[in-house]
Amino acid sequence: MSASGKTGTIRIHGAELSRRGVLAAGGALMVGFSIAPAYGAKTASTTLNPAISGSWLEIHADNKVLIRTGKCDFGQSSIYTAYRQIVAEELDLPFESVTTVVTGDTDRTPDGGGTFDLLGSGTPNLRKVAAYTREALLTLASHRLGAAKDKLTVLDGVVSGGGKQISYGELVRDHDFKLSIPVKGDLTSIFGLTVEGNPPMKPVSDYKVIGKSFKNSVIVSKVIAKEVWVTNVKLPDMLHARTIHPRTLGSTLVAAGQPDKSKFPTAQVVVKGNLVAVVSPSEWEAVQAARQVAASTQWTDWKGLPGNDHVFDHLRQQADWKAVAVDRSKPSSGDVPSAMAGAARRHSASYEVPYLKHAPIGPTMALADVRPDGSVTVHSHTQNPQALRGEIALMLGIAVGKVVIRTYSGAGHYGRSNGGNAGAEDEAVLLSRELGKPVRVQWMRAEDLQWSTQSSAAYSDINIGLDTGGKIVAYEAHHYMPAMQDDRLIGAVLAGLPTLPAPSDKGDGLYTTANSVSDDWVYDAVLNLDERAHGTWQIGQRESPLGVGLRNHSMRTPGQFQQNFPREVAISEAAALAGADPLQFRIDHTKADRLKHVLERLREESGWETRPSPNPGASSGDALRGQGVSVMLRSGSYWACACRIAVKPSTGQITVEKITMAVDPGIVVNPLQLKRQVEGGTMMGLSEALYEEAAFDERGVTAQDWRSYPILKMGDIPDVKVVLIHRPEVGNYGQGSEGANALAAPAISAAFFDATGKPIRRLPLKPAYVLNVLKA
Amino acid sequence: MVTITVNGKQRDVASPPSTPLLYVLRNELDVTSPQFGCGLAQCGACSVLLDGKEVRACVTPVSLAAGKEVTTVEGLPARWAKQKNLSAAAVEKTLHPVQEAWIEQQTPLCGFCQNGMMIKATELLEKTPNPTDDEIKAAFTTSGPSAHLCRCGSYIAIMDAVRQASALMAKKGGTI
Repeated sequence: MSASGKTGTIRIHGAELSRRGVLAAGGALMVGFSIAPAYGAKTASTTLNPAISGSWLEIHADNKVLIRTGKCDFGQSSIYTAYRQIVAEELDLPFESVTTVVTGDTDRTPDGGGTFDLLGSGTPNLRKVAAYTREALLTLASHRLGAAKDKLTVLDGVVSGGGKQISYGELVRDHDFKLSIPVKGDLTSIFGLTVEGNPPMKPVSDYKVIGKSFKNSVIVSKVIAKEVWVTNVKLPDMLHARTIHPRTLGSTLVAAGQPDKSKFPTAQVVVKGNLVAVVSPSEWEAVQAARQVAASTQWTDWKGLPGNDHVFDHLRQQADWKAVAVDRSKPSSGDVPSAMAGAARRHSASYEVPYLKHAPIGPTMALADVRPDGSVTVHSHTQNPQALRGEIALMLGIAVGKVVIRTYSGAGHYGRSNGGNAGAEDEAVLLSRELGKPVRVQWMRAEDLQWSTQSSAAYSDINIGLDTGGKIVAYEAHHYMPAMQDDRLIGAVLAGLPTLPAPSDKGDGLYTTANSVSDDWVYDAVLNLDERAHGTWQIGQRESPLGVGLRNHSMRTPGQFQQNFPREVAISEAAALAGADPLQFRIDHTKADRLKHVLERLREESGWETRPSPNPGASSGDALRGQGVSVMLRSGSYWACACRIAVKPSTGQITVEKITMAVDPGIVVNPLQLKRQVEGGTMMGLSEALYEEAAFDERGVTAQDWRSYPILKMGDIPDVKVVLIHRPEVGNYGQGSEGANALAAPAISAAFFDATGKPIRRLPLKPAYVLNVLKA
Repeated sequence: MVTITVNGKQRDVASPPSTPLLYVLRNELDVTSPQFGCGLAQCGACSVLLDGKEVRACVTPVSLAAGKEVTTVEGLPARWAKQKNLSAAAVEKTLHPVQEAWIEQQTPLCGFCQNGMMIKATELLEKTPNPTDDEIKAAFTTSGPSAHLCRCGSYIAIMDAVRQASALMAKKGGTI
């Protein structure tokens, strides 16, 4: 193709570069996908036009670059920092050249997929997109400069060859280029589209932009109060709604109350099946009227849950773990029964993790506008706008193309909406459709704790056999957890409308009740290993007349948190049985150099005392002191944590005095941002370890506010040290705040054992429970 | 009708006097930095300064703000400029040192709680220009109606930012 010649197409590593004409002014190279994306069986339509607005990447005549991603920011910063760095790096541009990042609007961004593991799973789409774009630009430059492509060099967006130079901007000026790249996947699935092919990518050893600390552009607008949060979006004639959810997780509506018109003249009640809502042009009137209507609305009673005091008895004795296949981990091998029978010493124990809430600081909120022509726009804060789009279309029985999801900044909720919805979105759509006006649904604090999904309770039985030398000869784990990914729209369920399937034994993919081994095995020096994961229905799901029960949804480090806590506490207890230092014991049981290195750095940086546990002489003052360690491998990132705690035997109070977190993610893309992410995840981990449990009774979740669902406060924070280990040769971009949250709980439990000699095997480590353990 | 002063401007409020200040600010006056978090004065996402004291807008009837000065994050630059006698032209280019430090330290993660955090930091530093770590922790944990909660766990970054804001304020003209 000649850049100045007639329109043609050229193939570049499986992508197609074409010129659609000459522009009078400006000019750009736009990068989109080459095939119409599949929407599964749902629909064949798309509003994404790679030539116009859905492009992944645009190179403009002024040398500025725009990128688009269908993912959203939930506080990870990666979209505004790491993604910019990755694109700038592949294109040999300065970071500042990537001036615009468009995120998470279904009519303005490509690829879809959930906002999770933004850097951890393989190669981010945008990296490959940038690599294809670089090849296209070099092809154009080769023609313009009259030099062979492989003789060209690029510095800061200026291509040199044959003694001449040309910038990217000049290459595209006055032209209208389009680069179509191959993709696969289902746009409205949880994973979205994936860029295919293998364009040549820059060697890690040549990185200049990746590895440096850049600031997160969205922070400025948040700090100076210019950010448009989802909570700030207003539309003309908008109504405020407060929903009134059933009295229990199995109640059906008997009769809806009515607002006192003398007090609330503009309030109105809407009933859709078992979904009741109060709307008003005034938000405060809606709040007050909803309280009054809720008090006079009648529901059937239902008492189908075991209550949290009996949850583990229920899971052990009542739950059906036989209906679905047991998952056995890939590394499982050897002859565990024989090795266990021949072991000199054995450790056998059970470990329990409670229900946890995502507990965003702002309860779920969405604004929907359903128009007479059937088009639907939802203004929302969701981790997966394309999946939400598919779910809304399914609920209404309309084409996906009729639905637009716009996303805005909002309160982080750590996985709750990675399958599309956080709670309010579909309710807003149903109310807007009913009333013919835009409707803003804002859940109140109690609803957000009682009607949202939660992270499932789980328990594990662990057996470890040691030889006479204190080495592990056999490790056996059975992990039990109800289904963890219920993506049903709750408003649709209550209104009796179509939704994605509830998790079941017949369900496939994400919507199965089967469990899987999620905690990557790291102790590969152990020769006999048997790890199994057992799954079942969500508690109450089949018994509830609504089909609801305790709905679960993935939350930071899902499944792995529930399996890593038992494993790591058990490993520390086994080290004690072996008379070994628990940190060295871990090093001695792995062949992974990266893990050994992380643990060695942790030992140096944390002030670790090398000695066996427990350490009964460790009391000082009125407190017992101890140290504990934990490790995890997640998405190619190695984590290790050491903490020092004080236990007050008189009150059962545990105080974490110091915590050190070491992580080797492979490539540290942005040290400043990663440090903040690790600190944040560590704080959430302390919160989960010390405070969090979603209490429930026979009817439903009883946690209703920040007193009944306490989280970590600033006064609780220990001395925190983050150690980032940059291993560029690994090639992996690794993880941030997700992952970090899982480490604290097993390290604190191990430290408690070190301090007191008493094992502690159930979270959270609240004073009343601690006192019981100390008395035992 | 209630009249309140918001970020230096007098505003007449049409909402009923019992309406919480939060809904008046957000829905009637278009001052949107205070966020709805709990409606129970338990989290601090809605915090504003009322005559310099941090209060929870979600439980404060607007009538209680009558005749008083309400400061939100939108008004922090002007508040600082007034305290430092900066010119009107300078106000346009000024951020409150708390905001500068919040950006410099890359404090927000999701950022939803940070409105209240910056308001609390401003209240603290106006009274205690050079707080100890224990004083910072106490301000955000026990000094108000409830602790200021951050679910993303930005507490370390907040402490770093408060320390930096304190240093910036000292550099820019001593105590205020």
